[in-house]
Amino acid sequence: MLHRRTLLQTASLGFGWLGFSALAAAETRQISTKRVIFLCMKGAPSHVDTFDFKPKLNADSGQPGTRPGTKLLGSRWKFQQHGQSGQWISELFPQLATCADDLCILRGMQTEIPAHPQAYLQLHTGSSQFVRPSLGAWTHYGLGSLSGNLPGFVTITPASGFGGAQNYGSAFLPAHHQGTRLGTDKRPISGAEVSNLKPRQTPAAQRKELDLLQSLNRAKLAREEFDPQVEGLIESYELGYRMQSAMPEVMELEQESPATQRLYGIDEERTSDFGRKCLLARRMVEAGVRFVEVNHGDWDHHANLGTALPASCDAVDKPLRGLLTDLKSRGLLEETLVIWGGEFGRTPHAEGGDGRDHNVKAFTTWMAGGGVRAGYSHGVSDDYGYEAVDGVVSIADWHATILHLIGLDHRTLTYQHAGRDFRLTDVKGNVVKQIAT
Amino acid sequence: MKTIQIPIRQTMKILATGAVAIVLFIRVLTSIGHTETAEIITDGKQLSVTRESMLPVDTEPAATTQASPLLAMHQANAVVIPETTDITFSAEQIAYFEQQIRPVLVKHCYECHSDEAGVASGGLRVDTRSGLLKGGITGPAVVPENPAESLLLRAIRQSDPELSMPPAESGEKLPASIAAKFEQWIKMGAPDPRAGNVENAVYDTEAAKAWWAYQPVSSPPVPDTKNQSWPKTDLDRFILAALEQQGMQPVADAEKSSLLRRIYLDLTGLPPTPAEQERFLSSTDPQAFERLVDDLLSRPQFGERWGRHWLDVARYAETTGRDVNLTMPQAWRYRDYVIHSFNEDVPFDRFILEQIAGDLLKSSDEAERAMNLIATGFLAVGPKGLNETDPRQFAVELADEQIGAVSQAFLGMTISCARCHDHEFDPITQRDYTALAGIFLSTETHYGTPGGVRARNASDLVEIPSTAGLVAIGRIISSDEYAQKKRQLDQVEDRLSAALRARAPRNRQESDGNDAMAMSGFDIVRMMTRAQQLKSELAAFNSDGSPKPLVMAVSDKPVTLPQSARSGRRVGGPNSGSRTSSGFEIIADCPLFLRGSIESESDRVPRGLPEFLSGGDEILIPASSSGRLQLAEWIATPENSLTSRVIVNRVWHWLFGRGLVESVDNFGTSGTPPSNAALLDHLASEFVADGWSVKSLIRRIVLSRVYQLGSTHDPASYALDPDNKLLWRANARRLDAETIRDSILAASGQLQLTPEIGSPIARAGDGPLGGERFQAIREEEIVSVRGNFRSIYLPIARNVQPEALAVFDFADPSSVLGARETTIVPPQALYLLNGEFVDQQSQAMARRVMQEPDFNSRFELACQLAWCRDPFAEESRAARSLTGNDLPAWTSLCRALLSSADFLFVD
Repeated sequence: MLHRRTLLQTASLGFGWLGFSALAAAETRQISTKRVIFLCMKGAPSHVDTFDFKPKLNADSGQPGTRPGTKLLGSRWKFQQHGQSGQWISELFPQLATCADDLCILRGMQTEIPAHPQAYLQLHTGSSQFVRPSLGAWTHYGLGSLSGNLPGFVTITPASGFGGAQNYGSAFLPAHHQGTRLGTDKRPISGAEVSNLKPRQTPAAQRKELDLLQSLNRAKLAREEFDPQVEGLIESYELGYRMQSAMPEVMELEQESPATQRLYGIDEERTSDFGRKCLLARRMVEAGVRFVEVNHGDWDHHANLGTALPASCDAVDKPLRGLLTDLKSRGLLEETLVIWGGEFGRTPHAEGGDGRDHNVKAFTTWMAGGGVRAGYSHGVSDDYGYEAVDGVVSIADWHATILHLIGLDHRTLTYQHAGRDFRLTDVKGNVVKQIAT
Repeated sequence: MKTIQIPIRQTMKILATGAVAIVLFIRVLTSIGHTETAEIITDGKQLSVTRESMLPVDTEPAATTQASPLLAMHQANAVVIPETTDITFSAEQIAYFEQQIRPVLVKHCYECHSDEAGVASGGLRVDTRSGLLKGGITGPAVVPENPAESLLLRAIRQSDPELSMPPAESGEKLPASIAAKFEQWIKMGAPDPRAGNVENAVYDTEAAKAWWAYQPVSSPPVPDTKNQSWPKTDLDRFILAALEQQGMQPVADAEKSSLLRRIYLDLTGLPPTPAEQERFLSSTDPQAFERLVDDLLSRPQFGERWGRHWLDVARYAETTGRDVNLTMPQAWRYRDYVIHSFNEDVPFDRFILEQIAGDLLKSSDEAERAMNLIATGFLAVGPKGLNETDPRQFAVELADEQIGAVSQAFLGMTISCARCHDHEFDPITQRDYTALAGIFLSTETHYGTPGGVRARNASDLVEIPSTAGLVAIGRIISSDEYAQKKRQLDQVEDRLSAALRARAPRNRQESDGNDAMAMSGFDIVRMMTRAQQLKSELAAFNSDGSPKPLVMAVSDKPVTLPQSARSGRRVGGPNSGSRTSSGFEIIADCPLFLRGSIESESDRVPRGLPEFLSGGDEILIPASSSGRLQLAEWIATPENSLTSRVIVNRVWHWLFGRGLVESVDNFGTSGTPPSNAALLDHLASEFVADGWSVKSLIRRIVLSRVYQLGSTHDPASYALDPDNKLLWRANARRLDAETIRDSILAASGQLQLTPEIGSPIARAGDGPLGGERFQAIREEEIVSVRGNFRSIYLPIARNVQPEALAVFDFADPSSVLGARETTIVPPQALYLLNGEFVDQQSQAMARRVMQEPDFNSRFELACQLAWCRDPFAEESRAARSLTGNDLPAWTSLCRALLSSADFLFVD
């Protein structure tokens, strides 16, 4: 249950900003979900080889495909039902498959533009065309921050292409809703830093400087009698000062037991990088970061599907299981919405013999945790996985549902800009109520 | 296109049948959707449109299937149904409500009693007049003309413990003065323009047409004031009259040192040097301030300061942004043109003409022509989604971006809202939009960029004759290298065409399949990209290897297509790559696109002006011309009710931190009304009389007494006007990003006033910003850019900005931005405490002050450099407490000064 007054107090301290009306709507429901981890698979994973089992595609492999001049390519990986729920998952995710009963799989996803930058931006901001606030920024705007020592929205190794910072930007929302970037997609996460976090002086020297600075600020405040801006400035220095120790502490993965590190696959080279990112995400949500995005690429398997796709899956499989089981064992899973997916799917027909092309008409994402119906599948694609035919979920629907799950109403979470009210879902979006508990 | 016109009497009948009928009525209109316009004519009844009534209406279930999902602007589908059209209130009565009553309701009541909040505690909603009249479970909240019966008043006074608002447990009680205002308001009959309830959200064109901004600019008489001695200028009389009306008085004038720092930062963006401080502070000349203002206005730093303001409005950047973010290496020329124009005080009406239609203006020589072309860079520097797969869609997007920029920058209107449907809040129809779209679709935009992978929509640039004397920057290559590139291009093109032939379906069937696979799709794309790069590189050089003087600009499209272009599908210049025909290759009127979708064409709309805004004046656009010149001329006339007000208000905003109209980019009915309408009109008419001189306008404002007020707190005035809308004091403002960085460099003595020509992006040349395979410039080179010249000369890219600017709310160049955000957040604190740039500059400043002999003179100089004043005794004491007298200690002290509120704010 969200308490508006608590949040108002937080907001007045400068951490948060509230989408009042959206929140008011949330007050009528019991919402226990507090935070979001978005595992973004850049480049678009193949759904027909992972989470969307298509026996007919395998049977008809080599036959002409839906698009003229193409040939269907069956999946070379075996699918099996897992858990009590009997969810179909391919052998590419043996570890994650053990969490099948926690997953809510959306197999009727659709998006609009079969080009990475546009689709990636739409996935993140709802618009492929205009500069709009990102999902994380809207979430932070709607719910404010949970921590006085940490940023409210962090994105781990975001893509520099595909719209770059727009994917975690705040656009017209106030600037503090934008994501704090940690690392880049070009380098491993270990060693990544938040800019300007490291003091240049000894703690004693810095505290002394800060004491002088604050005494100057307070002297000014006293002269002015009343000046909320100066008060805000004084507060921002204290917060920044605390972030200096709070952020590195969160990033200190070595504080975790060897068993936990192993759970995420940090001890193995192929899973180490994504494992670190996932563990970092857990530590961050635990410490009060509202929205964490973890990026992984590159899933754009136009060629060498046979080797490249297993490598990508392998790099994330164990860490994904690690994250879900760890969150669960700490009692965090029910408060945390975990989302997994890419910007679109891939074609059932082959590209160049051993690859798959972009497909916007059907793809799969999954969710787990906070308020999500576990062990459930929603939506169906056609026999080849080319086009969603039932339970179709557009990006706007997906966004509306995510906001719904964290207690925000996508229709009333608005911000006035350039003469009108803007929403993440613009004029679209239907909450997929079936997948909410 | 059908228009349903329903006279008010009929509306009232519909209303009389009750709420169900209203809902049904709305449903009918909703289902008609966007293809038709539904209008209700209210027989001229006055109705102002309120914020509450303008929330987009939700359609449940939402319309998910759009003909073109790309073009789903917000759909709204409601019509005005005034519930109380039989009552009219005078403008004064409405103004009373707007000023005294509505803010209180919004602030204290809406949280629990409004549709916006989704709550109607006790069944009461106070966000519509009908809600107040109907009341909640305890009965009507307001009984017009009868304060005694009005529960709202009783609740506010908290005389009845059962009925206290805000709730007793909140401990809040509204002051008696506010309760008295409510009583007064109820006695008046509770005037309240808020019609309807939000479900029936409302908009009425007739009412919108009565909006203040659409009325001609007047020259209001200068008001009399009780206090005759305070006003220095007529401007002051307008301010004081408004204050006196509220029983308020301005605070005392600013300290001389505060005023000095304020005027330097406002006019040049740089602080006065210690010598300049000394000169001004010791001067006894009564004209000293006036002389100083004239001096500052004539400095080249003036244009660098004010040009930057305009670049925010012009959404200036040197990369295309959006999806692929390619560099625009010639964009800096527009930046320099803007600086030059402000320094030369080019009359603002001329400035408008040059930016919209410079290419169509007469020029006396090549140099002037080059300048006029560069000015049209305004239309070319906007963001573009170059990866758009449909060239036709791209052309429409480009025109839309230009319409948005022109209308918001010069008119303060959000005309782009009318792309898919008639404007929700302002009298702008989709036909008006389409008439403008025809003008911009008849315009060729030359923005450069090489084509290739993920950048399907390249264009060329305009080459300027060498006689214009334009500097061409970028590297120089040898003629051998030029020839080599040419050979490379030929080779790549040969291989490419061979590969493409091999992949053609008919050839593929004949071959065994292996040949076709010999070159993968990826290889082909990579080679195409290489070819485009080589082409664009070659286009940038003369054959001797020297860079060509190229500019971003616009031109009119041809009247007919040349024969060669008609035969094939490929069009454009040598640099336009594989772009296929957009269908907008010649000067032509634009078809109206139903719901904004290019798939659904309706009839063509003649190129022209927005009908209502132009007062129905038909402009004559020759068939051989886009109409840009005519559009620019109409915008730049004194008769245009928006143009002069909009720029005067922008200038006011840049000097006071808040516009007389707070929504500086939106003068439409969803914007804020002016806090002092008479003053705005006074300034606008004087501005036009002064020949649209921006410098004269600034001079007029800064020489007023209100500009020179102190920022002192005054509890009584604060209680009446906490937002300082009436300007009873000066606003303390946080410095903007550029001023912070430039002032730090000035304090450290490292500022380099003469910039390098061009910009790092210009020197980097064409290519993507960042990116994986090939990049023109790395993101890091932008983020942590080096060089101690003024901030306006830093590389300005979309999506990635220099850290020094981004951290302090630099203007996001994705759209017109006349008023930046001002945040005070921890990342700024961390930047100042730990950032490398601040550390280096603090060290340099420390070395500078350590040349003084003793602590006092050192600290005094440091304070003069950072704060433009001498320290107070308690400040000196605090500073002394910092042990040590070495460089690290002084660096730390200087950094503390540069991080302090006294530095970051201008009082």
